[in-house]
Amino acid sequence: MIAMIISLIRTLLLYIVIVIAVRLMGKRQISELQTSELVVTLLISDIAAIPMQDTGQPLASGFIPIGILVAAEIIVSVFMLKSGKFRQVVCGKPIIVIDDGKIDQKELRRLRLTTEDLFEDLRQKDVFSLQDVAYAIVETNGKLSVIKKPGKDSVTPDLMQLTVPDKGIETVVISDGVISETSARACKKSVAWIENVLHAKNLKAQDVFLMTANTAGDYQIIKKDGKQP
Amino acid sequence: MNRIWAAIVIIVMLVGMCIFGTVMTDRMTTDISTSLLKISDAIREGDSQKAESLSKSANKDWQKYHKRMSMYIPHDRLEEISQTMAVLPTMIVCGSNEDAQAECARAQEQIRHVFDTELPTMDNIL
Repeated sequence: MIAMIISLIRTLLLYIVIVIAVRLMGKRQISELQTSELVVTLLISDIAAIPMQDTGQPLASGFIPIGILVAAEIIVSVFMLKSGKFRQVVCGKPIIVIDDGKIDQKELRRLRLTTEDLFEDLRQKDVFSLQDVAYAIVETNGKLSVIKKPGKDSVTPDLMQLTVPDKGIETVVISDGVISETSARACKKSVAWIENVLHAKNLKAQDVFLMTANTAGDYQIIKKDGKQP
Repeated sequence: MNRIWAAIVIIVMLVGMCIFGTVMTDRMTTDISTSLLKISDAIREGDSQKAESLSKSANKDWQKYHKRMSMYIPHDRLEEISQTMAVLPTMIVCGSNEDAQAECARAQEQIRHVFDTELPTMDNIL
């Protein structure tokens, strides 16, 4: 029983340390992992598991390597930001696998990327024919970027020479009855503006489930269930 | 830039902790080794009363050090020493001198091993 309580406390402590570690490494970690980031993330999860399961291991044997890995990762990412060459050494460089519509077989072999893998990546980018592709680049994080041939690309308002009104950013200004001043500021609105809108609609903030607003002043209100207008 | 400072602080703190741990381990293991040497001498001289009181005092000291060391040394390594230290006073009183000497040597070797494995030497790193 005591060992279980020790495990529980250790797990909580390690959880806190890992959350702090991931926060320190930055948001980039969560979405797209570069080589060094992937290595650090895998290592942290492995290292943390040892003192979590084995109560005979001191917690320091988990904290010290995690701390050093996080610090090293931050320092490496700062160096990568400062020096392009260093970044190239750590992360490699993007490789063009389809150049002007032609597959570069040598690069595919070098990347150990099969044609099936290439076509799978193309399909995931909504490209279903090789003839549509002008360039395909394997990025340093392993993802494929595709540039379609001009005639095969989607029509944009710019191509049609149309003017689209800029509505700016849309944010959630009221969530479950609570006004968010930060979100209001993001769409260049104030709490007073929100209250005026609610007043005009004969509503109070607590009656609102969701209210979104954008820079242009457009808004949408969803009342809480059971509230009368 | 705040992150780089956080990274530097983390590294400095961890390096400091590691150095402090090594220095503390050195002090504690040296202290216990000296006590064990004195016990061994007392056994050799046939002064079992002195050897017993020394071993009890060394055991008490070890209990204190065990708690501190268990914060950064795997517990099973320390447990082995605790077991050896615990049987030493009884061994001196009830056992033969040779057995007590052997147990004393075992404890010394285990303590030396704990310190050796904590040193940042090439052997330990590789």
